[in-house]
Amino acid sequence: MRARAIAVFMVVGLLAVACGNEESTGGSSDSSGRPGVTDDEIRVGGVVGKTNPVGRPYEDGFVGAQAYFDLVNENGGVFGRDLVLVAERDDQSQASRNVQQLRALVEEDDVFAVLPIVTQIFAGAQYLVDAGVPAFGWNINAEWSTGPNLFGEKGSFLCFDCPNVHPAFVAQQVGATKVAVFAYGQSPQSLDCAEGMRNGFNTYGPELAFEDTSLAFGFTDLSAAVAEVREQGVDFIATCMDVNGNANIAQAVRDAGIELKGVYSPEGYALDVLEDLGAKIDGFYFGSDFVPFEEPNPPEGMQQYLDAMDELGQVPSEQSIAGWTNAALLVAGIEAAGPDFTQESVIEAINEMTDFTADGIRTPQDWTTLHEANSAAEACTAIIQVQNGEFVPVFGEPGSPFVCFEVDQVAKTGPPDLSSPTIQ
Amino acid sequence: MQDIIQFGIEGFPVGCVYALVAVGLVLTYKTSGVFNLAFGAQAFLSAAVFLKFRNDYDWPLWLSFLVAVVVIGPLVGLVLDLALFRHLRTASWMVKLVTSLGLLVAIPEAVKIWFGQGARFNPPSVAPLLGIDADRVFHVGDYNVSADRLVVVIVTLAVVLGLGVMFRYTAIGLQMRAVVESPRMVELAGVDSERVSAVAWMASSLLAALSGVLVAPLLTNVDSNTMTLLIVAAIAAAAFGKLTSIPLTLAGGLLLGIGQRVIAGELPANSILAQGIRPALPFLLLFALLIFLPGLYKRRDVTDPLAGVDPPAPALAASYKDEQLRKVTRFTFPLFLAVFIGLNLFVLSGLWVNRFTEGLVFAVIFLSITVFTGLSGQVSLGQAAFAGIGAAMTGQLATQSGMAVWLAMLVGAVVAGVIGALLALPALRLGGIFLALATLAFGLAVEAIVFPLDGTEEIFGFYPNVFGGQLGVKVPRPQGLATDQSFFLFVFAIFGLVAMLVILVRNGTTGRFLGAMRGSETAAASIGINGTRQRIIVFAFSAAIAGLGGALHGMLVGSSTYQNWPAFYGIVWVVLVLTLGVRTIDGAVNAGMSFVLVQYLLDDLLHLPASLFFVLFGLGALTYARHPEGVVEFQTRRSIDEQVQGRRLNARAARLRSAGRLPSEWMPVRYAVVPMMPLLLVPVVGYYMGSRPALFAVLIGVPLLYSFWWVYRCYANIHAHRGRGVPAPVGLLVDLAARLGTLFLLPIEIARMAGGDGRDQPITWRAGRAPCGFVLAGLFLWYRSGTENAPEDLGLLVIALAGIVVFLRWVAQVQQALNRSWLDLAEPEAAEGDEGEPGVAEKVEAPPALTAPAGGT
Repeated sequence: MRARAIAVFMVVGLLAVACGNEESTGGSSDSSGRPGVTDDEIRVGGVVGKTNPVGRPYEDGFVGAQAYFDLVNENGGVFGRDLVLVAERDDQSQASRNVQQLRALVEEDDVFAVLPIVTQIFAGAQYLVDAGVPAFGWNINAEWSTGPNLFGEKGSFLCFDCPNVHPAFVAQQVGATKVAVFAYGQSPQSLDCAEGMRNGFNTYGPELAFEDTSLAFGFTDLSAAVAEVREQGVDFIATCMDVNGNANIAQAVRDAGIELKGVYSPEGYALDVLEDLGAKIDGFYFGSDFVPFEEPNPPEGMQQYLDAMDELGQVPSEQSIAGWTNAALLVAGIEAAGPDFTQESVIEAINEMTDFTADGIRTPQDWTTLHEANSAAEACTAIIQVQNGEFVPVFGEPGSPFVCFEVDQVAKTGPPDLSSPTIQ
Repeated sequence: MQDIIQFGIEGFPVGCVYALVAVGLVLTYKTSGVFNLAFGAQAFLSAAVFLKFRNDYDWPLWLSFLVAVVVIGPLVGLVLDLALFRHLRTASWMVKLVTSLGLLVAIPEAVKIWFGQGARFNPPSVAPLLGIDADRVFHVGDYNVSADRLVVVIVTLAVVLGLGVMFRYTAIGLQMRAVVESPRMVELAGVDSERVSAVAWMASSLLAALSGVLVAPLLTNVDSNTMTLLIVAAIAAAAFGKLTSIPLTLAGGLLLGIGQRVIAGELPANSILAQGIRPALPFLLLFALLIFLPGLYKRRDVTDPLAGVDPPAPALAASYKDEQLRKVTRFTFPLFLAVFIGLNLFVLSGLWVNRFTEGLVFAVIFLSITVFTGLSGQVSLGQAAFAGIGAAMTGQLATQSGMAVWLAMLVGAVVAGVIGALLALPALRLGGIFLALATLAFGLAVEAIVFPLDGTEEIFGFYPNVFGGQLGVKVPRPQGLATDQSFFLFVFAIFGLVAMLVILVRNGTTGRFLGAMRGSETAAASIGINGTRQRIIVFAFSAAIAGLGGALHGMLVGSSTYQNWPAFYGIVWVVLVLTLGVRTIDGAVNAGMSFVLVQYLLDDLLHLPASLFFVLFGLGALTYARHPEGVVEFQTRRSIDEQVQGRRLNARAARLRSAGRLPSEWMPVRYAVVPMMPLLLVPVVGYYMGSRPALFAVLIGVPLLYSFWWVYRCYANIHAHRGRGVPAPVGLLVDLAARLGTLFLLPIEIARMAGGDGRDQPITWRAGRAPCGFVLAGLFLWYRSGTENAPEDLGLLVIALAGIVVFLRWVAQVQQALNRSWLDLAEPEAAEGDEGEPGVAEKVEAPPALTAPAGGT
C-alpha cells in the first residue's frame, strides 16, 4: 500500500518534468521596491559563516556593520529612519544553508538590503541577483561579480589571473633577486592567486625561480620546498595560503636558517594572528585593501571605526571593517537615491558613484566599472610589514598608505614597469 | 646517493610524526580490539587544553602539560572504557567502529564549544620540559632539525621501545593482548580483565594526548580538522604494521614521511600530478596497503570464538503490528503523505518548501547508506565522493554539452555507479573495518585529486574539468521546475522511485543474498550465492544513489563546488544514518530531515552553537551498541509494542470486568492522559495570541491539579499493595516540590512493586530520562532567554510542544505499566500466558536474514 501511494505521487511528480533546462531557480522581491522600510526604520540582515574551515572571525562582519549603523542612527539615521540589523544568520559554510539563509532574510525577515555577507561559499548569489535585492559583503568569492546588485567591499570583480603587481613590487623594493611562490594544490582560490603572482613575477621580475603549488592543507612537509629555496638561491617568498600555511612557511624557513629578504602574503593581516604568532612572522609583508589600522594619520572613516571598536571592546579586523564599509556604501546609496528610495534606485545610485571611499578607508571606488573586468583598473594595496611583533605600514606615506598601479583586467596586463607607483 | 641520504634525513622527523600517531592507533587496537578513529579527537582535546591553559590562563608549562596529558589523557581513556568499550569487547566490528565514529564526530565539536570554532595558533612547545630551548635548531650535516621535531623523534623512538618491552617482557603487556583475544579465557587464568582493559585504555589515551601536544607545534596550530586529517593519514603507517606490529608501524611511518619527501623532490612542484598526489599520498598508500597486503585483508578482527556472535538484527518494526494497527496505518500513511504534499504545495512558504526539499535530497543520499550498510552490513565512509561526482557530472553535461538536465542527472548517477563498481573490484576481498578505511581513503583521495580539476591543466592531452574552479559548476533544474513547489514534487518523486527500488532490492533476491552473506559469507557461498556479483551490485547501486542525490543537491542550490563535498561529510552522514536507522526508508528520511531541520532548530530558532548538532548525533551513535536498528526504528517498535500491549491489556480488562474481577486500581490510559492534554494548547496559545493570563490559568491549572491527583493515586495504590515504599503524601510532596523527582521515583516504585511480587518489571527509571531531558532543556532555554542569544519564540514553541508530548507519553507508559501490574495480580495465570505471546523480546531473537520480513518502510 505504501509503495502504491509513493508510486502515485512519484508519477505526479515526474509528469511535471519536461525535457529542457530551467535557466534560473527563481527569486522574488517585494512589489513596492522597498521592503523592510517603515516610517522609522530600514531593516537589514546579513549572513556569515561563523563555522568556517579557516577559523577566521567572520561574525565580525556584523560588529562592523552594527557599529556603523549606530553611528548613523545617533546622527538621526537616514531620512529620519534608523538602520536596524534585524537578523544575524549563520550559513555554517554550507552551500544549501547559504541559499536558505539568504532567502530567509528576504522572504521571512523582510529586509531592504542584505548586509553583510561574509562567507566561504556564496551559493545564494544567483538568488539575490534574481531577487534584485541590494547585497553587500566581504569579497572573497568569485560570485560577487555575477550581478549589478552585489557589492563587495573591495569592488565586485576580482581579477585573479591578472598580473599580481604588489608582490613583485615589494620584491623589487627589498632588492630580491629570485622568488618562490607557494600555494595549496587543492584550492582553486589559492591556485588562481598563484597564477596572478606568477604572471606578476614573470612580467616584472624578480626571477621566479621556484613554484610549489602542490602543498597540502594541514600537516605538510616543507623540507623539499625549503631545500629548493636554498638550492635555487631564492631570497623572497610569496604565498597564496592561509595563516596556517604562512606560519608553516615561516617556521620551515626559520628552522632551515635561510636568510630571506622578505615574505609576502595577501592573507594574514589580522591583529589576533599577530598576537598568536608574533615574532614567528617577523619581517613578513601583508597586503591590505583598506587603510591599515596602524596608519599614523588615519582618515576620518578609519578613526571613527577604530573609536567604535575601542568603545565596543572589539579587536579591529578585516571582516569587521568590511562590514563597516558595506554599511557605509548602503547608507551612501540610500542618500544618493533620495527620500523615495527603492531597492532599484539604491542599486542604480551606487552604480553611478565614482569616488566612494567610506570616508577615506579605501581608495576611491568607481562603481561604474567595478562589476566586471576593466581595462583601466587601479590596483591599490597598502603594504604592512611585521616589525618587532607589530604591524607597520611601509612603502606609502603618512596619510597615503596605498601603493597603486593601473592594470588592464581585460587584456590581463599591468603597467610597463613598477618603478613609479601612485601613492594614495 | 646524495639525494637518498637527503630524502632520508629530511623525511625522518616527518615519518616519526606519522609513526607516533600510528603507534597510538596500533596500541589501542592491540589492547582493546577497537580501531579507534576517535584517536585524533582525543589528541585534539589534549592539545586544546594544553594551549588554552598555557597561552590563555598563563599556567606554568609543566602544569599545563600535567593536566592536558597526564591527567586528561588517561581520564578520558578510563571514562571511555568504563562507559563504552568495556561493554563492547566482544561486540561486532560494526558496533566498535560506529562507536568510535560517534566519538570522532562528538568530541571535537564538544571541545569547540569551549575552545572556540576556529584554529588557534602558536601552540606551546614541550621542548623546554626536556631542557631544550624551543627555538633552538639542531644541525645534522647540512640539514636542520627544530627542537619540536627532535622531541617528536625522541619520544617516538622511546614509545616504540617502551611498548616493545612492555608487550614482550611484562605481565601487563601479555594480559592486554590476551584480554582482547578472549576476556573469558583470561579470567579463567585469574586475571582481572576489567582492570587490564582500563589500564590499556588509559595507556592508549595517554599516548593520544601526548601525540596531540607534541604534534601541535609542528602543525603550527590547534585545529580539529588538521589533527583528524593527520590521524587518518597516519592510518597508512598503522596498516603497514598490519595494525599489530609496533616496529613495522614505525617503519611504515618513516616510509610515509620519506616517501612524501621523495615525491616532493622528484615531481615538478607546480605540476597537476604533484598537486593531486602529494596531498593524497597517505590515502593512496592506505588504499593500496588495504587491498594488497595479505596480512591485513586476511586477518580476523578477533580470535575469540564467542566474539561477534551478536544475535541477528531484529525484524523490522512494521512486522510487529497487529491487524488492527495495520488497518490504521493503511489509512493514516497515505493521509499523512497527502497532507505533507498538500502543505508543501499549497500552504507553506517557498522557503519552508525548500527546507523540506533539502531534507528529501539528503534522504536520497542517505538511502545510499541504507543500501550499503543496511543491506550488506558493511560501512562505506566515501559516499560524499560519489555525491560530488554525481553533482559535477550532471552540471557539466547540462551546461557544457547542452544535455537535458534530467538525462544528465541519470548519466551522472550511472557514472557514479560505474565508479562504485570499479571501486568494488579491488575492495572485494575487504570487509569490516578495512573496507570502511578503504572507502575513507578513496573519498579523501577523490577530494584531493579529482575535485580540484578545473580544466586548466593538461593530463594526457585532456583538460579534465570537474567542478570548474572557484565558481563551481552550474546545475540547472529541469524546465518547468523553477518554483519551489514543482521542484519539491520532482524531488519527492525521485525519492519515491529510489525508495521503491531499495525496497524491491531488499525484498528481492539481491537483498536476501546480501542478508545471507551478512550472516556468513562461507555459508552463503556453500549454497551457491555469488558473493562477488552481489558486492559489485551493492557498491554500484549505492554509489549511483549517492550520485543521484548529489545531482539533486546541485539543482536545489543552483550550482555545486568542490567545497560542497568534503570527505568528512561521509563520516558524519554514516553516523547520522546509523544513529537514526540504517535498515529502513524511515531511517533515511528521518536522517535527511534531521540534517536540515535540527540544524535549523538549534541554530536559527534556539541560537545554540552549531557544534551542538554534531555533538548530539555523535553521542547518539553511542546508542548503536544497544540499538543497532537505529533510534527511530527502536522507538517505532517500542511504540507499536506499547499499542499492541495496550490493546491486549484492554481486552484482558474487559474480560475481567465482565467477570466482575476488574481491580479497582485499573484506570484506562486515556483517563490519565486526556485530562492533561490541554497543556499542549499553552505554547500554541502563547505563540499565536501572546499573554492570556486567564486562559493560561485554566489551560495549565486544570491539568496540573489533575496530574497531582493522578500522582497521588498512583503512589497510594502502590503503597496500599506493597504496604511499604513511598507513602502517597510523600510522593505528592515530591511531585509538588519537583516533578523531576516523580519522573524517576514513580517508575521505580512500580518496578519495586513488580520485583516484590516476583514479576517482570513493566517499567524502569529510564522512562524518566526523556521528559527529564526536556525539563532541563526548557530550564536552560529559559535561562538563555535573558541573554543576547535568546531563543526565538518559534523555537520555544517547538521545544515546549515536544516536551509536553514526551511528558504525556511518560504518563501513558506509567499508567500502562500500573495497569499491567494490577491485571497480572488479579489474573496471574493470564500474566504467565501473556509472557508467552510474541512481544518485542521474542521478536529480537527472530529469524535470520534469509527470511527477513518484507515491507516496513
